Parts: sequence; C-alpha cells; structure tokens
Amino acid sequence: MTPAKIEIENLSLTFADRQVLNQINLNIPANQVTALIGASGCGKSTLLKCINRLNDLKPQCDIDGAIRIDHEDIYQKSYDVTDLRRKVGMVFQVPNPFPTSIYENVVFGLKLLGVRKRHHLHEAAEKSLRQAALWDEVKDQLNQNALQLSGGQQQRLVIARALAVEPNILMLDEPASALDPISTLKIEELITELKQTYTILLVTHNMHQAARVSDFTAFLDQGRIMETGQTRDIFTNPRRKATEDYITGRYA
Amino acid sequence: MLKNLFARQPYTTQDQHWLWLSGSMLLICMLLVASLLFLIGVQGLSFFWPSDGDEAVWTRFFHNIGLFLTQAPTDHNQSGGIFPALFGTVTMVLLMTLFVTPIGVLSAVYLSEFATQNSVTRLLRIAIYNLAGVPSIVFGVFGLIFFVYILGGSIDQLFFSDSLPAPTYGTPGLIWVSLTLALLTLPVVIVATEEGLSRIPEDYRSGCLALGATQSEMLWKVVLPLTTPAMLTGVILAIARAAGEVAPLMLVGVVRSAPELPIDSQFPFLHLDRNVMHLGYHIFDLGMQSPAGSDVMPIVFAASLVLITLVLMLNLTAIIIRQGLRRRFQHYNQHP
Ligand SMILES: Nc1ncnc2c1ncn2[C@@H]1O[C@H](COP(=O)(O)OP(=O)(O)OP(=O)(O)O)[C@@H](O)[C@H]1O
Ligand SMILES: [Mg+2]
Repeated sequence: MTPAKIEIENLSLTFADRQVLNQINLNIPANQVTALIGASGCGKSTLLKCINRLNDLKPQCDIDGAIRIDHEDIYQKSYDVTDLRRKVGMVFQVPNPFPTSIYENVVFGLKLLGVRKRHHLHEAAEKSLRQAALWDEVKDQLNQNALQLSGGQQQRLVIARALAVEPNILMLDEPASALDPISTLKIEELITELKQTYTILLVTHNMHQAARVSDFTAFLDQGRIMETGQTRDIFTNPRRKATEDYITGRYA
Repeated sequence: MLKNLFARQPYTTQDQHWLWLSGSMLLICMLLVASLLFLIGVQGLSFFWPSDGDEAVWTRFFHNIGLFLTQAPTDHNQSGGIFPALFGTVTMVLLMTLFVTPIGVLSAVYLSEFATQNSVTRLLRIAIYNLAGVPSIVFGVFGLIFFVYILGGSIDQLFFSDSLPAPTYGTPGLIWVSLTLALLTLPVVIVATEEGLSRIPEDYRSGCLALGATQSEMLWKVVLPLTTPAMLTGVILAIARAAGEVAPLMLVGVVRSAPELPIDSQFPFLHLDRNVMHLGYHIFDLGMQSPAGSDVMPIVFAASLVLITLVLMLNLTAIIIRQGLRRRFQHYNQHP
C-alpha cells in the first residue's frame, strides 16, 4: 500500500446544525488517483473544501476531527492557510474563471506568488494551457475575456489555472462535466500523466470515468463513507449492496 | 394609436381604469417637470438674450453667458456674474468626493467583508442606513459644533496658537463645508458599495482563495475592481445630493459674499480655511434677501439654470465613467 498523502480522521461537518459530513475516515494515497463517488448532495464537494479549508469562512459551519497532509494537521492554529491552498489546487464544480483575460486567469496564482518575469509567466501559461488541452484553441486570443469562452473551454481554463501554480495535490470536482468526448479523453490522459507528480482527488458522476482513471475509489452516501478500496475491487466486486446499486445505477 | 405607443393593451375594463389612472398621474408628473425645466430654461436664457438691436444677437448672447459665468458679482450680488459661487460649489463638491469615497468604501468593505455578521453589525448597518434620512440641517448643526468648534478649535490651539484669539480653522470654512457634505452623503456611498460587494459571485471569491490568495489580495485583485461600477453609482448619488444642499452649509462656511476664491496662486494654493460662496445660497440670497426685490429675478433664474446644468453635468460625467467600466466588466453578470 502506497503511503497516505492525506489522512482524514473522524471528520464531521455541520452547516447550521445540519450534519453534512459524518465521521469520515479516509486515507488518500500519494501519487495515485482517488475517485470520490456518490449521489448528488452527499457531501463530495464539501469534503474537498475541507481539505483546502475553504469552509472555514462560511458562517455557521462547524468542523470536527482532523485532516493531516504529510502527517501535519492542517487545522492546527499555526498552519499557514494560504500555503496550504497553494499546495492543494482545486478545480471547482462550476467553472469560475475571473472576468479578466485568458492569460491573466492562468498566471493569476503565479502573480500572487510574486513571479514577475514576463518570459517565466508566458512559459508557465503556455505549459499549463497545453496540459489542459486548451492551448491550440486560445493561443491567438490570450487577451480575450475569459468569460467569452464556452463552458467546456472555461472548464479547461480553470484546470490550467490550477496547474500553473504547480500544487502537489490536485482536487478536481467533476472536471469533465461539460466536455465533449475528445476533450474528456484529453483531460483523463492528463490526469493519468499528472499522477507521477501529483496526488489527485477526482469527484465524478461518470462511473466509466472513475473506473478508467482512478486507482482508489471512495463511495460516499449521505455524508458517510460507505466503502473504500481499490477501484478494481469496488467496481468488480463491491462489498456492500448500496455500493453495487449505486455503481450499476440502481440507486433509489 | 397613441395609447398603444406607451402601454400594452389591457385585458379587462378594470385594467383600463388603472391604465388611465396611472397614466394620467405620470402625465401630471411629466407636465410638472417639463414646466419647471421650461420656466427655468426660458427665463434663464432670456436673461442672456440681448434686449436691443438685431446685430449679431447670437454672438452677444453667448458672450453674455460667458461673462455671467466668469465675472464676479457686483453691487451686492445684484448684477455682474456668478463665477465665485460656481467655483465654490464645484470646489466643495470635488473636495467632498475626495473625503467621502475612501471613507465610505472602506467602511463598507469592513462592514461586509471583515466584520462578523451578528446583531452588532446589523444594528450598525441600520444606523448607517437611517443616517440618510436625517434632515440635512441637523448635519449642519453637528458640523458647526463638532468640526468648527471642537476640531477646528483644537487645531488652532495646537498649530496656530500664535494668531489666537483670531481663529484660523476654528471658524467656518471650506474644509468644514466639505466634511459636513461628506458626512451627509456617507450613507449613500456605504449602501451602494455594500450592495455591489454582495453581488460579487461567491465563486470568484473561493476561486481566488483556492489559488492561495489572502483575503486582502482577493479583495484588491478581484472583488473591489468588480465593485467599482457600484461604488461610482454611490458617488454619483452623493454628488447629486451634495450639489443641491444649501441650508446646512450656511452654518459651516458658505457665505453670501467671499472676498477671495478658495484656490489661487498664493501658497498653499488651496485655502481650506476660507469662506466660500455657493450657487444655491447665491440664489436664495438674491431671491429672498435682496433689497431690489423682484428686479433681480432674471438673475435668480439664470443662476438656477446654471445650477441645474452643473448638477446634470456632474451626473453625466459620472454616468459616462460608469458605463465605460460596465463595458469592461459586462461579462461578469452572465456568470451562472
Ligand atoms: N454553504 C452551505 N450552507 C449550508 N448547506 C450547505 C452549504 N454547502 C453545502 N451545503 C449542503 O451540504 C450538502 C452537501 O453538499 P455538496 O455540495 O457537498 O454535495 P455534492 O456531493 O458535491 O453534490 P453534487 O454531486 O450535486 O455536487 C448539501 O445537502 C447542501 O445542501
Ligand atoms: Mg458537488
């Protein structure tokens, strides 16, 4: 078993007394793709946002339990949150490019880091746009407003934006929900390629995608982890009835 | 059909009644506004129209307007131009903008971005919103007591003790006029900015934080730039209100006749301690207080015309700036 990059221990979360995550225990292995599956509203996005501490500022949100990255508790007082977020890149479920140019979007994180050298920024922008399979479509219009891109292009743009800062954990919340089969394939290839250097967490509603690209799978149901294991095992031989029903589409 | 020009055809007779009732009310409003503009416009312009001869009337007409705008009044304001009053009004409004914009915007930022939202912030917000409804003369009284006597008095004791007992800042003057105006219009700017901040999609904020931005980086790089159209709306409303205020200002530095302009070639060029003239007060003074009675009414109309035009122009400039910014950010409203 590969060493755990992220260890989640007894994590519970409530929004205004509503239990959204319930006693989550999950280890996410380093340099592997972990798929997070489960019905809509079961808490997948909320779980991801616990890992980069984006729930912190939300009103009436209570978090209990521990998350450790590289054996360090990220919720301890002395932990630098901005540093954490640079290490843990996130691609949101709804593409959220900033209303500036395509180029500015991609280099946004680097500029925050204080990178000012133009050629450095250009190189990084091109590299991440290529990785996200968007370069060829936008290379002649980098100064165009990012919100004029199509939904699928925006989705790839925010992937490029997250990649540009070179995090070591990448969380993708349904990164291919608005993509055509070709772009989806490219993103899946990218995910497979990136796991050499990144630890990847992938939320998806597409069971084929989970089966194709992930090594581990965790099945979430109403804020609880129902089953975890090697993707191979879960998809061919689920231990629980609920998992099998969900995977095969018999979820009530 | 004229009726169809303005309204969709109503379905029932009851709708018909409401159409006619509301339509005629609108007509009354429009007539009142139109006659106001017409009266001021015609009366004001006829003041400039040369009364004699027909030689080059247009040239002389514009020449008269030019003189009126650039000359100082003579004979107890009863003749001559209105330049000092016009200049004073513009100066105090611009200075007020300089005060109210940063104070208002930063207060709004604190209130909606940094403060914990609880009953204290709610109470504070209600207090600020209600400040907008306080009669303006109350601000004048406050300005006189707090700014002129307390603040100005302390400044004199600390920095200008040589010239005491003759006050330097402890007396009505431009700076206190502008600060009183700023206080008066502060709620407008705060409310507009808060409104704008609350309309920035949550997605932009979390997207920005997720890339490792601190909260202030998020504010400066994403949230505040997107809020500029809303802020400007607030500042426009503030300017529109400020340019029309007269009563409170008479207490803190606006006078009937000032010997010098607040800006001149003498160091320090901008004289914050000087009394200033104001178009609104000028009109009031001529219309109500002049010994010449109704003889000066043409000047009153002409000055009113200038005041209306000035307010319209200030508003127009701000609207044009805002439209420009809107165009730059036009896509952010389309975000899902
Ligand atoms: N800011 C919030 N305040 C209150 N409740 C919230 C908040 N965010 C999420 N929730 C609730 O938490 C639950 C889990 O939401 P979450 O977005 O994590 O679901 P999800 O598994 O990502 O679903 P989907 O597959 O539809 O994206 C939902 O029932 C939602 O109503
Ligand atoms: Mg989700």
